[in-house]
Amino acid sequence: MRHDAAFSDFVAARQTHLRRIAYALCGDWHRADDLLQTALTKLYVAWPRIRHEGNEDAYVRQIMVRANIDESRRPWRRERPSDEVPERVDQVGTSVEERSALFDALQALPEQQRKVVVLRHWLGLSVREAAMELGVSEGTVKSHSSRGLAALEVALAPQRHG
Amino acid sequence: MDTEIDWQRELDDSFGSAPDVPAGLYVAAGHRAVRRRRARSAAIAACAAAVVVGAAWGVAPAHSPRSTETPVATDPPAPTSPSPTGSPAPSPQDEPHLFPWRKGEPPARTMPPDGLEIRQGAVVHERRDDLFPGKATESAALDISYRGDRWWLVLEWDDGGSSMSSTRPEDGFADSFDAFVRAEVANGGMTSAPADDVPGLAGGLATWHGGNLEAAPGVTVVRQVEDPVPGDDSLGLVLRSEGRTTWALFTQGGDASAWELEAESGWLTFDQWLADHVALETGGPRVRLVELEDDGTVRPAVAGVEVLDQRARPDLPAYGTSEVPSALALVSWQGERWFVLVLRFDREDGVTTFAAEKADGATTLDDFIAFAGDRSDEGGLR
Repeated sequence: MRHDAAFSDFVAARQTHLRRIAYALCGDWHRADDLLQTALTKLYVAWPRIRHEGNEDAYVRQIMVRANIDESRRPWRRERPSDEVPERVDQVGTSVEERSALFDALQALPEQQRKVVVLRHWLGLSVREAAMELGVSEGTVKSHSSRGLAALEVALAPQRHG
Repeated sequence: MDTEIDWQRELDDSFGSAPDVPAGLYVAAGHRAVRRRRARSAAIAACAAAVVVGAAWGVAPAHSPRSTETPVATDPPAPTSPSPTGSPAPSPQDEPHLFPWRKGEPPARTMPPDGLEIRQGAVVHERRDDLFPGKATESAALDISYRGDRWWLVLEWDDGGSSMSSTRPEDGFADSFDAFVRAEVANGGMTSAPADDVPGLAGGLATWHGGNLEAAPGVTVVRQVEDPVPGDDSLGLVLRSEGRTTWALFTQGGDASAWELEAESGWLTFDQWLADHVALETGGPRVRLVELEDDGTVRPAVAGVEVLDQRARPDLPAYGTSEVPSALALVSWQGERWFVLVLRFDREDGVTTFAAEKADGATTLDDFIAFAGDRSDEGGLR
């Protein structure tokens, strides 16, 4: 199908970036995969409209941010289609995972601080955009941003001064 | 100082990546979601058969359905607890398994196509089956311990997928196993409907190749529209099957199709639906009843349209209203009431038009926002 080809092209082009966003939000590749699976399935269903609007990346990111927020309010929940098989033994641990102290510090931030830092300082959203995406005030974004970066600076200090 | 740090670069360098997943897996998941969505309104709830296909029922043998009063085991959780059957529980390291249990993973899971699997060495203190009797799925709630860790799990599965909710008592999400199960059941379990896949294009209702249209048994072709898509070999169809009407559009000589249950579409008539899909196929203009002004208000864009109510930046973040200028309007047009959601994009505004009659009887902007919010979990408005 034509839609399938276009959707596959989008996934091929963007999945590495989108998976990294999911990982930055939750700090766990398995949860990140769940997040992205959910978001891309919804994108596929809405593909004609979203593609027409040319807003695919933002649509996926929005779903991931919302889904992650929702998950954090509930017991851990995982849902998957049947042909998404669990990782085989030879696939476990083969991710090119190179977590630094900075990333660990990012994951140690309170959830909203972490999301603000990811949206504002990694993805480059404006204060206003981040506030709208997270459903908080611009002042809250600035506050989270300030405190989040302060905490991250501590983690970064050894390598900057060492 | 913050200004000395390039946070974008530092954060980008702070972690690696993971191997990509074949895009086809996401396409396949999308196919299933679309099919489930289209089949949802026709899904006849049949009580789930209490057939349990398990890979490890030797450890936790199945009792009769709804064995809520009979704990499978009452042993205290202990790393070396024998299995309820009395045989020694092998250590996890002894488990020969293609898919090893991951550290920290709950001690039960669903493994397609085998169903529920309970980790060897785990002790099931209480088990409840058939949690969702109105759904054609299998399900179980487990109060289970493994190596001293106690878990409360709700698992649901069918041929189309599986879900699991898990928590530990100390997490504080629920006061008791019973409360946890009741909360999960109240949430409805798997968000997707039971697998009711219909293979093939046009929902398996018809094929069209070489100009030959063949309807599946029991399907009535109500209407045909020849070549509605300019420059493409196409066929529009209204199909009737099992009391339901499906709108379909074959393109590319029958190699591709779009289809939707009439009941789930936001359009009132097949002609409206077809015109919208032709526009999607060709990139041509879609129906646009209102225009979004720079001040966030909307005005009629078509003669005969009257704006009855409107709201800037409606609370529909799943549709992007928090990211770009947007508005939701209730309008009258051709004797009907319509909701129109407009989002401002660089190239062209995104416009979604939805008949009030098809929006669960929504009469106000708030009604429609609630309706659209619910639909966002199912893929959005079509």
